[in-house]
Amino acid sequence: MLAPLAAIASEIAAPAAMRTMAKRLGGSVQSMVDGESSMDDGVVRLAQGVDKLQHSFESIGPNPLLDVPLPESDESESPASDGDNMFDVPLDSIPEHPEPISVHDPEDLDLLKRFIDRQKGELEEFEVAVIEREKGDGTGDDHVKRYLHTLKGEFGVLDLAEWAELIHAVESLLETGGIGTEGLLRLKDLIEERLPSMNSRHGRIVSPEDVARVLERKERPAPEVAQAIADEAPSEEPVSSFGLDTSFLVDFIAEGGDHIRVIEKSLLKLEVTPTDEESLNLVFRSCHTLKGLAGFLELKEIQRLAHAAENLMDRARNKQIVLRPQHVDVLLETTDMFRGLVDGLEKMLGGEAYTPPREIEDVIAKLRESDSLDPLPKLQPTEAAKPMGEILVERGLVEQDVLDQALQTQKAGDTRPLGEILIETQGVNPRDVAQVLGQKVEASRPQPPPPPAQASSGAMAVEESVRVPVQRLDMLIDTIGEAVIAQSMVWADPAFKAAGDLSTEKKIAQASLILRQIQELSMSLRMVSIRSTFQKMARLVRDLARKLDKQIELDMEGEDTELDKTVVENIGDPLIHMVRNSVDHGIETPAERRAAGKPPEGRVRLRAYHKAGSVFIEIEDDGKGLDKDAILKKAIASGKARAEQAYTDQEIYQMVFLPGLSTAKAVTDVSGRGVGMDVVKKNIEALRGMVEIRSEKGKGTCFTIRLPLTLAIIQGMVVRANDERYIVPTLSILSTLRLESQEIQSVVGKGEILNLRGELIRLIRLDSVFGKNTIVDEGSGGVVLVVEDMVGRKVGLVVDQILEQQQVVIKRLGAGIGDVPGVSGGAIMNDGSVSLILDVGGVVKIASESN
Amino acid sequence: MAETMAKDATKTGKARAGKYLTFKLESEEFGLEILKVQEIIQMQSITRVPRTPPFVRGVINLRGKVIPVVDLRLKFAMDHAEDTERTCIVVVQIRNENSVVVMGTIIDEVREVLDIPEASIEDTPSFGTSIDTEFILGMGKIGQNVKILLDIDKVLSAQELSSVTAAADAPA
Repeated sequence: MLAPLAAIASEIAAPAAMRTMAKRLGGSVQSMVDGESSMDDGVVRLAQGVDKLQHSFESIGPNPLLDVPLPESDESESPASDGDNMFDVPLDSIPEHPEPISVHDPEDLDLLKRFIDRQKGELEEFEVAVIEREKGDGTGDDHVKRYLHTLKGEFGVLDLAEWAELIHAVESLLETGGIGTEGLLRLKDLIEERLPSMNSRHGRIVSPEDVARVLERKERPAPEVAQAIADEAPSEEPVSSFGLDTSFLVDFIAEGGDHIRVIEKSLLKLEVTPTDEESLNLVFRSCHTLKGLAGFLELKEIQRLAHAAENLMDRARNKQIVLRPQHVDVLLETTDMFRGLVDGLEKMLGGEAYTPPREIEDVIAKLRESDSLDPLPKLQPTEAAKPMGEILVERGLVEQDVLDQALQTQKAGDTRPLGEILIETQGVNPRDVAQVLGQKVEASRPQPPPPPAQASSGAMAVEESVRVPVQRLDMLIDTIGEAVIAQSMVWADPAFKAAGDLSTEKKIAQASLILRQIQELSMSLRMVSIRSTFQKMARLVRDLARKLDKQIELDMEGEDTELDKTVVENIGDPLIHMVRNSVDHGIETPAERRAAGKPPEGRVRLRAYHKAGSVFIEIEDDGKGLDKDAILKKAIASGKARAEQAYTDQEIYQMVFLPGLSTAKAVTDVSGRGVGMDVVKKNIEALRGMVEIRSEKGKGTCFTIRLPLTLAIIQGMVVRANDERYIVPTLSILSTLRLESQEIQSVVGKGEILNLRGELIRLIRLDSVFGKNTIVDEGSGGVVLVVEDMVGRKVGLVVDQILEQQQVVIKRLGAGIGDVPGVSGGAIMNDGSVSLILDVGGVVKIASESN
Repeated sequence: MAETMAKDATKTGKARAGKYLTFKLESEEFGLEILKVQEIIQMQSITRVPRTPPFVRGVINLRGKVIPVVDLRLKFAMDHAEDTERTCIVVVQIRNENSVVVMGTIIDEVREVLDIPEASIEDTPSFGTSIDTEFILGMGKIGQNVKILLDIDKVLSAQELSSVTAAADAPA
């Protein structure tokens, strides 16, 4: 057992911190085994737990899904549905945020070093693929293309422009069969040879000899290359084909999503500062990469769309036009289209039919139009404006008369491109033609700019990571949970307590400490930042503000706050609702604001932060605030509140979460239908969170969402009801009190009512809800847990006894049993048995229905 | 004879010959395809899950996983019996809409593993329309004994468990 533990400890790919932990745990368990401990059973169980832990580690360790997916690896053939379920786990130091690496810094040696390290292996695989490709049956072909494209992108990122150009030339040649196995192998040799020196000035340079070395003696002349590049007109048949391995598509969906987010975010920035170069470049690059990827995967719609957007962005980037709001609108529309197409792709992978929407053509047309919307004269770089022939002559590669002759031939009716004529009839070196053409295209057209494409990894931050299927991660977390339970079983073992051996106790205590730490680390692996969710809000606020004719500025804070992946995925919808509400109902029109003495521009603030073991998300606006009277009136009118009762502010505010309650005077298509806020509350409660509202009339409203850090563990109160144990999430308990029989009033047909300091609350006996007859006889004194029902009314849940408070790992009740009302899951207790975790809302609901 | 058997086998769409784990429920013997059996564990304390049908005894901790346990006696409308030291839980893997679900089944006593050739398997006799024999693969004749071979996927369709759960919503 210990040997493999040591093995994970040295497993390179296991996150470093965990490795250390595993090592220490191993030592601890070792000393326990060595000791004369008598709790064989417990120790053996713990040992088993540790054993399983190792397996989990191992399953994470050698995962071949590195940043750059290798087409031939089995793992990359994960089913389509796994597309999103991948996780980038940083390789080292999980708890701290890895140093952000500036992509734009050419001197970033660290980045370069990692690149070099990685290429060593990949070049070997490239070589294998090149050789396989020679067979001509298509194997290896994809890999070669993909690798070259990625490599080009990485060179671009690393600012090794000359290298990127070389790869680009090779890529183009490859398209047309202009380069064969020999050439590709020479390229591999060249890169391999230079790799170690790439961090020096010398290594950055690709000399003409190098180019010649790779491209010389190519198997076929290059005229078609010229044609391929010149042939910019997109194909007119928008048919999607899926000849390729679906794993590429899965990757594309994930990667494309990243790019779309980058584009969207940068566009929003551009709207404010249209000349922000970084954003211009980001959008351009992402469009370019999308185009490239889509082209490779033969996704014509996306390719064409990206191409049109790229054209526009290129002109903006080259300062030929200045982006105006109209441009941004069209580009945002394009982004939506991208998203729709990528979603459609995902659907298609899932076996559903999907037809790309017709509007694509409109959007493309709009993109083209907005291209010409620009009043500025088009500035063409002089070089690019010149015909190719002229450049060739200028460079002394072709004699003037040779060129004239070729031009004559062309005039005489030869429809071939000039380059081709030059090569075929005049014996001009195809390489020269290709080179000039390539440069010309690069200089004048948006086609292949010095490649910025960062085809492999996510959007901006380059951080070394391993992509791990979520399933494995969850397995690891589960197994660690088991180890923790096994550990506490040892602790609870009567034999162990009886033995009273101090030194063994110490060792076990240490092991349990370490286990806890591992558990925390494993939880942190599931954490992702809320950034992307917040970014969606930026778009939402912008669109809404335009629609409603309001001026709104959105502030975001704490986008890097990390939450459990599931929480991040599920918090999006509630947030959208709340932000919508703030914008629609909260913020007034500029006129109203001026009248109220406020600046015309409204402010919505999104904030996320960690505090006291929870995550907080705030949505704050400086609008008109909640109208308490109106809410109360409405609630009373709809029978949800009683006129004679005095409510606290907080209670009144909470009423906005009641279903069907909206104070909006007019139902707009934005909000006001009264659905929404109750859904918000339900969704947040499903994540075991809660919402608090602060509001001041005329000053604004602030919604604070409080969420647990993780969904895998909860703090629970272990209670006894009859002869059964249940766990009640501590978060859902407002207070507890002893049940005194004299305070109970029985209401015929309505059950029991408790007078809680003047407030009447309904009592629900847990055992009777769950079909066991109550034994709590009057006077024996049960315990009342005061909880809230779905609409925030207090309810007393009666149990016999509170046993203890404990942290438990939530387990599903097994797929076979489905959803059980009133039960949200199970937990394994210290004695190895299962206790059920209550869903308080569900229990109250059952009780209400049976009344 | 053998020919008609072969035909019947194709009719049910399953090759029925193979190894079966046989066990006892009341006085009858049943057979379970051995490939469906994950393991056999001793009886342990079961946590009742409220508001589930009576044949769902509850859930247990199977090495860190929570799995449901079904009492086959109750499932087959036999009398409830107190657990004995021979009572045990056969953990089976059932197929449910492309996913594999792990469940425990409580049986009175495990007998043996038998290799039953196709020739010894007869179709389920028809008991008239009122009796559902869909979950029976066939009857295995071993010497004088007849063993009922179960199609455990159908016996324990997860869908049924959860749909009964919904039906059981009426207060107890």
